[in-house]
Amino acid sequence: MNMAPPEPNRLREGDRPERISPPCAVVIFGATGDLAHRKLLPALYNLAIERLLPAEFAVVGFGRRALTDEDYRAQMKESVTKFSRTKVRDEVWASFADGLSFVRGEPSDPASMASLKARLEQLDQARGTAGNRLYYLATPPSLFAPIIEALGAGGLDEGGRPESWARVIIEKPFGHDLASARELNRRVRAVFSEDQIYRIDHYLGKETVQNILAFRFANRLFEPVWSEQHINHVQITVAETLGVEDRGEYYEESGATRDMVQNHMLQLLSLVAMEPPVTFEAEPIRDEKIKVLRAIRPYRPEEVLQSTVRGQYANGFIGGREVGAYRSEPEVSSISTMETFVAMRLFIDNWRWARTPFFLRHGKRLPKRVTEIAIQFKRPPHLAFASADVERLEPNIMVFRIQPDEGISIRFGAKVPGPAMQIQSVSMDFLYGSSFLVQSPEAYERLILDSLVGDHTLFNRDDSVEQSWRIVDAIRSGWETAGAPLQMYESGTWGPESANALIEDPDSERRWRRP
Amino acid sequence: MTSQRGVASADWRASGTDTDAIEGELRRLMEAVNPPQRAVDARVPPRASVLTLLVHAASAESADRARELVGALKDHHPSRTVVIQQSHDPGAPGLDADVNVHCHVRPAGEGLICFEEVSLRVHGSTARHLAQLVSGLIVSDLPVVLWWPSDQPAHAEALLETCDRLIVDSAAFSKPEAELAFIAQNAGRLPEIYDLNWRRLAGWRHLIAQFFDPPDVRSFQSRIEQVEIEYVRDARTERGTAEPLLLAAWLSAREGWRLVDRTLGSDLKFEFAGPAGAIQVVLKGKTQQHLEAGTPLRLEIAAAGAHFRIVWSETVACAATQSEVPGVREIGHVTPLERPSAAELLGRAVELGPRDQGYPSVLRQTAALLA
Repeated sequence: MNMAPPEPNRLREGDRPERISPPCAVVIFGATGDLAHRKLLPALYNLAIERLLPAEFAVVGFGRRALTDEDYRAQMKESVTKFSRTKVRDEVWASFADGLSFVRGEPSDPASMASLKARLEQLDQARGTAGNRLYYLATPPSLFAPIIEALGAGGLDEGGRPESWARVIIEKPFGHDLASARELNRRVRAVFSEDQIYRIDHYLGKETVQNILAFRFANRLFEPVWSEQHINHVQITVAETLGVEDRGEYYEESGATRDMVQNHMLQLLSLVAMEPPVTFEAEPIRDEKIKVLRAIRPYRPEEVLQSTVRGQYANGFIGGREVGAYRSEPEVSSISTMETFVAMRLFIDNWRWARTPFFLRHGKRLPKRVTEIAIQFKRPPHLAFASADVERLEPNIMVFRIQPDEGISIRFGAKVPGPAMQIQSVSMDFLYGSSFLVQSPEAYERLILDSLVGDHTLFNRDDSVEQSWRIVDAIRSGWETAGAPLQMYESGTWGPESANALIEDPDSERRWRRP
Repeated sequence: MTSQRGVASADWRASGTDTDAIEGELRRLMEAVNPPQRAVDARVPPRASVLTLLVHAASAESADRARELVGALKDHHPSRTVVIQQSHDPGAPGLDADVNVHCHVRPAGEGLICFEEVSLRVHGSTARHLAQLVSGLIVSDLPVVLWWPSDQPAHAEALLETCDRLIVDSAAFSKPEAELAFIAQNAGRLPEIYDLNWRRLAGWRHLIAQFFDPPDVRSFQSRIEQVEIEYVRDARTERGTAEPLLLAAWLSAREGWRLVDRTLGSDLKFEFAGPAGAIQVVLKGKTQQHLEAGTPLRLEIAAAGAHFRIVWSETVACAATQSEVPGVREIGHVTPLERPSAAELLGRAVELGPRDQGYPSVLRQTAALLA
């Protein structure tokens, strides 16, 4: 018998609808791993601090270690104290920890999954979690499919009650090439439907990334010039000063292209290049993004070498310290040929972007940590000023700074006060930190809350993941076929010299920015 | 490179001046502290970029207090503030002005964020021309926000047409019942009203609403029988009733309760008729010397055998909530519930977020409770 839905809560009427989690139990697989310590528990704690979690909430860590509930609470308190953006308040922590518990087990063991199911049912009774389940797979990628299948086999693929729901958040990387991504999608979709699946890309949770959509589609000013008619080129830079640290084993299997281009950078590109969605809802936005990915011109094998550069960091200096080469990092082969730097030129074959190149650049051990999207406009068709007066005038540029110092800047020409008509470039900045009183939440807080309220907008759909892999696979396959050289670059520089040749074009005034 | 944010500031003062001179000085001071740069790719010196804030103070004391609070906006709201204070002398008309331009280094370490403050002391009959006076000082193409820091000032109507939003604080009203009733009666012709006191209660309202969010508890919302709100009352002035009154008005307005009777003694008692029968709402004042008058301390709701409770702890600035629903569950949690400062509330008020659709009906209900 279908029960009538309850009346809306009248005490919420008139208020701007706030995104508040419904009652729910969150299960973290990989509960004692790095991601849980550094990001997930701090994010959940901060959602509690912001009053966005109800009393009817619980978190269950699932893992192999022999931990009691108290052990797990103590470990997580330590991590939250260390990694939370807000100070831990003992009284709030104590209340949050009341809902925190640990189930020991292995996904491959049916008895473990039965224990998990029993715990969740107990929480529904004791804490009112209402049968809603959110599973977070914070594990190595090789465990994604087995865990999903174990949830299905254990009857945990649906909510604990008829009117409740079950959702799963899957971390990146989602596969390591197109074939494995398709296979993973197949196995996941055999248990969960697409609307239950949340493939995370934490870049999409960043305020400035979301502001790209607000900027483009809430203002009439920019859309008329947002095309090949007015834009010279777009460059997207994700630069890191860190090396691979303790992720050598993982990085040897992935490399820069898989680690960063396949997910974050192609997502950023699609936000910049997409058409306006009909409504600001998940599916219309995701529909427009996939159209961009499908329109990216695939490289012919002979084009890969002219259109891409792959590099690897050697010894150097960063921040005044000497740093070692990639091949000297722990768990990295001394003869490794994995790329830690990639640059590429892409074209989007559609009416809006035909002939406008998009340059992507990512690397480790670069001089500065920065992520930005720069849109360089074409020069005016005719400058009526005397050439001396505009000698120092640079093209208009709009920059979205994703991190650090999130914000947007626009460079334009203005007259220098004085008797002469001298024009120079000036920049106008909007900085998030100085324009709004509210502290920006961490990306994981936003994304976890979105999955709790059922909003897919900032998560990747299956077709988008597969199309991104298609693009990356073509590049890697082209490298293999052509024997693409691995260019070494000194740590603390902006990558191999050949990356400059990829973009530089004196006629078109293109060069890599120094962010 | 210094690790502290640099600050530049410049002042000017004049008696018997006019708004043209004031504007001229603002330009001059801005250039003095933040000169245009000549380097290639220079940053444009930013100026007022968010709004004009007009502060219409009823007294010298409230003007001084307002200036202190406005100072806290400097970091995040580059804007122009005009503080208007009328002198009550019947002497010659005239205008005195103090102008301050304050700039500090942006967080990224490049360039300055600037903030302008103009204080006007208006004498004699000049007070009858406030709208014309400030129109020369409002920054064009930006929203204008008007703030009454305490009671409604003399000649208040003069500036109402110039503004997009009127900020009041019903906790600062010396006679909250009368002032709230006035605002409610005139809401139709006033610009959007933003009551800092109503916003001060946002955390409490959220926690109360949260009791009834779980679908299996929702039905108790229609069966509320009793509500008790304990709050801090100022023993000397009896002030502090505005916050609990707004809470009571909000609850009764949302739930569609009709006022049947009231007793306005040392405790305020209201009797309502609701869909499931009679509801009693009691507002109990409690003297607490060190707490601000009006601070809610405790709320209890009884509904068909279920009990919902919020107890606020000043020591840890947290609220402990408890739901006891027979046959369903007993659960509680502790959640931060800071009492926002006036500066924080003012900062949010000038951000001009979406209109509060809920406040007008609460204001009307408050007036009905006091009529």
